[in-house]
Amino acid sequence: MKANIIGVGSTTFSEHWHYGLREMISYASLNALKSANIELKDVDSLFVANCLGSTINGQNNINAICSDELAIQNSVAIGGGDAAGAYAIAQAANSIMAGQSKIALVIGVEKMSDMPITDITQIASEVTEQEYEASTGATLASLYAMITLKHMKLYGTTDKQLGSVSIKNHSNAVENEIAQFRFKVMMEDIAKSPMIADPIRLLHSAAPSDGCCALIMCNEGSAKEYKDKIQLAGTGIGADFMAVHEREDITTFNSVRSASKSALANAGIKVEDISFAEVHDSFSIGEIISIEDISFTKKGNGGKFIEEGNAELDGKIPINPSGGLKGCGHPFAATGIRQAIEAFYQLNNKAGKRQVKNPKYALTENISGTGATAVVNIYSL
Amino acid sequence: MYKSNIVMAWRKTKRGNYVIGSKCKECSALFFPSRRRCPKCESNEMEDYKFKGNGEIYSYSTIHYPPAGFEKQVPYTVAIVKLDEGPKMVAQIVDFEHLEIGMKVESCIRKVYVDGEKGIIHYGIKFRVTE
Repeated sequence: MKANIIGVGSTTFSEHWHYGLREMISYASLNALKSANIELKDVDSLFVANCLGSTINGQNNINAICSDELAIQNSVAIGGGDAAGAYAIAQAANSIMAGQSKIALVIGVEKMSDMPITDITQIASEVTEQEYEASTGATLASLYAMITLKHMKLYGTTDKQLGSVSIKNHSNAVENEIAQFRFKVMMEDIAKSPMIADPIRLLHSAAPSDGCCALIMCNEGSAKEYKDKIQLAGTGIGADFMAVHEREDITTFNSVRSASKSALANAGIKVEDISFAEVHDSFSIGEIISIEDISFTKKGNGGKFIEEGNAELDGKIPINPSGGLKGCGHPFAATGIRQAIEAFYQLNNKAGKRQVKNPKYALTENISGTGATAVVNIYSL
Repeated sequence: MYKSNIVMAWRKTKRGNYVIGSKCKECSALFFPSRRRCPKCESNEMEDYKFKGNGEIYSYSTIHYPPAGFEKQVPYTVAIVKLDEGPKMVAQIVDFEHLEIGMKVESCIRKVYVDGEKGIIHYGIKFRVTE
């Protein structure tokens, strides 16, 4: 038996100055219920992913906020850094398959615009190791920058190839109503954008954002009554050393390798069966390494693969048709749920102008920090 | 960012001013920072190991957008240093004009940051270029 998604809802990803966590949670959840055409009283369990709420918003106990706001007794909060969204989907699926939940509401929420950028840079770096990495002054961006530089040195990955990731994802985001950055960027714009942590520039980085995404999940039998649905065909979870420096080769995400391998095995398919993927491009190099470690292309070839157009909407394997984290913005714990929403629209042929042609299997890859953990979910109709 | 308070600073002092990691008593694998169990051979028998503090630049980045607490230092450079004994570690690099992967470095004690006007001064390991 597999768990299914029968409804989706989301706020836009934006700077939601006028709304707090509660408003965002209600908005996304009520829209997801509406999309599935069910009532709040039909929901028997709630899973909420949130990463930085206790630091940025001073709000811990986020599942209690959801229970209060939506009058659902059985709720639980799921952590897991910026992969929390995908973890929540996996946990809800476990509960459904165990018969503990009949209809589950799965929420990912993050509100990051309430603080100045130096504070956000510090807080976002909480997803990295603190005592020996961040304490030196190393930021999340600088750790990715060191990974980028090493990838350039080892495989000849170029600045232009990094740029082609941003160009593609911004271009895809133009057609995505959820996305925060719905404009195209050119190579010159990227080269002129401020340097964050050499060689990573602003336009190589996914911006912190406010966003809430929600899904309605149920078992295979109940899902038959619903018109638009997708099945969680397989899930895989992987881990690597928390600190980048402890990894033998920093240009490989071992977490992604093992998560994608188990997800494919769990779904009973091969990587060639995947029609498109949503991957974790918090920085351009993240998308390049992810497609290598999922095995869409061989190690070291990721930059070239994207530069040659293979990851475009009409390419060999479309990557981030939604616009990815770069185009949509990256409200940490909401991202994994947003990726599932993209799979829902694409597999039901409702993605409008960014529709991938006849997709059968969607792969989503959500990682935490610099790849310490990864959750890969595979969806089908 | 991990802002150590006085208790945490005290806890780290013993190790903070040296590059101390651990060595597996079974398979002799070295680690930085210390581990309680060997991820290579699964042994639980570990002992402290003091590294010489010499190594080379494995990768690096110059930070222009700092986390809170590091604003006054911008731009500053962090690196992954590969110690001569094998393990790698993250640290700031100081006293250099030009940096490249592979350059030789040695550890030194420097001020990492000051905890506000009345806070304690945090010292830690940085590396300087020796070639």
